[in-house]
Amino acid sequence: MDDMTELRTLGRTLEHAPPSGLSRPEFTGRTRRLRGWPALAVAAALTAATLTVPALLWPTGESAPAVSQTGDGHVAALVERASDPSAWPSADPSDGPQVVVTQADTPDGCAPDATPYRLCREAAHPVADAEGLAGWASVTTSRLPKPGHMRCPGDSADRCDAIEPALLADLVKELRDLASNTAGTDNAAAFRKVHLALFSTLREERTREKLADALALIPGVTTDADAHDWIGRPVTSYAFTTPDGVRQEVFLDAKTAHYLGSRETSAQGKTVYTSAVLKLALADSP
Amino acid sequence: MTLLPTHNSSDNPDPPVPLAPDPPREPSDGALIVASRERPELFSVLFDRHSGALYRHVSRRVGPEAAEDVVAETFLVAFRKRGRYDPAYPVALPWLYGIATRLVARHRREETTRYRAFSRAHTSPSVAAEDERVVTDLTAVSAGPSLAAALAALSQGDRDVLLLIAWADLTYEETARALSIPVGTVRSRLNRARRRTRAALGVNPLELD
Repeated sequence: MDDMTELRTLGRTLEHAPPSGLSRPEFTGRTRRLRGWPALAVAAALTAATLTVPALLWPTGESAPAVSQTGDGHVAALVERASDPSAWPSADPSDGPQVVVTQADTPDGCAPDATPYRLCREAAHPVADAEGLAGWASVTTSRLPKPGHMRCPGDSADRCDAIEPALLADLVKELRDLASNTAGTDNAAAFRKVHLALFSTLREERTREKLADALALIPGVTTDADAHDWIGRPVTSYAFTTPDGVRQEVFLDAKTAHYLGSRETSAQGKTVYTSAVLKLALADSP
Repeated sequence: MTLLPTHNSSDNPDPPVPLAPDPPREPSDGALIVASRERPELFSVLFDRHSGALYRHVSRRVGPEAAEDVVAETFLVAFRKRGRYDPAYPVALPWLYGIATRLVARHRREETTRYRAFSRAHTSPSVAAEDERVVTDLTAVSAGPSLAAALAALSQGDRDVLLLIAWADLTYEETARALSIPVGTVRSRLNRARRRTRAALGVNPLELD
């Protein structure tokens, strides 16, 4: 057994079952009236739960009226928002406009099932991005910073800017090493670094193709040219399974080698994270 | 209502067969927390959902007596901070684990004493086994004391990350959010902690990198 398995066994040994009378604190306090979409969201969720239970207990044997809210409509909304990678900027302009990335990904704790177009139904809940899209996916826009920086979601940009430039410098050096000599390279680390390079920067098409070639050459990486990402786009998938059994996939556009997203699947076969870049566009600096 | 796919052939007149209706949808944790800002009593639903899992996790670290206090305080802190919870996260367990982990830090001495005591009490010579299952069980038992001693020797930050991932089954991203640290820090702390635990098991710690 590996160390994590041993550790889990130790945890079970040390664990105690909760007492039957685990004391629940009193939850009282001042209330604050909700406004806008959170109020509507909560009302919808609570109403749906309230209505569904009696519907399932329908006594006549007829088909019970169902409260239906699948993820399909939300995926369709993401597909509509996505643009053709062939029309995306081919490289990051050195001066002038910045490249703006619009990306959808699954919120933490949202475990999508394996079927495209039906994701996160268990955890579906109303959320909204800056542009008002409601659904189970979080949609963020970020800008690809100039060389030396990594892109980050807006609310953590300061933290990422403080940390990532050094990482990027290391990354470039290690990619050079990777290209010149794969012997002795940590394959998982190499896969992660190329993934990061593709995710966090927009390089010219020739460089992207080289990075894609580097991905495919890493020992243990399998390539599938007929794969689809979770909004249904045809992609080339580069997959690597870590020693812990976690399968990591990077999706690239076959024609342009643009980075289209990623997926991580646990050793138990559960998709724990997936993302899709919907759009790259040029925009003036803020 | 979900429909079962049927053949596309035009000579098949059967209509789609309806499946059972979708199961009832419980409000997500995020929705409940938002709602509890208006109706505080709804927070008790969150307690009923997650207090058991939190208690089991915390009891591993600080024992049953302190665990009860830590769990109760975790929910009181969470209740006070519910106005700042981001409802974009439907499952609140990582957030609750983060609060509980910070409270466990106040019991650091009890925690390390607990691991060391376990290590001393369970150190015994291994026994020959007759089949693979027994061998596996014995291996687990014999590895426990070494691992417990290694846990006691870890820094608080490294131990928090390791145990949130190994015992609470949080992802790297969830752990980062729970502890308010970057994912890169989670990875480096986990790497460092696992080198120690692997060394305690007699595995070459460099294999991890």
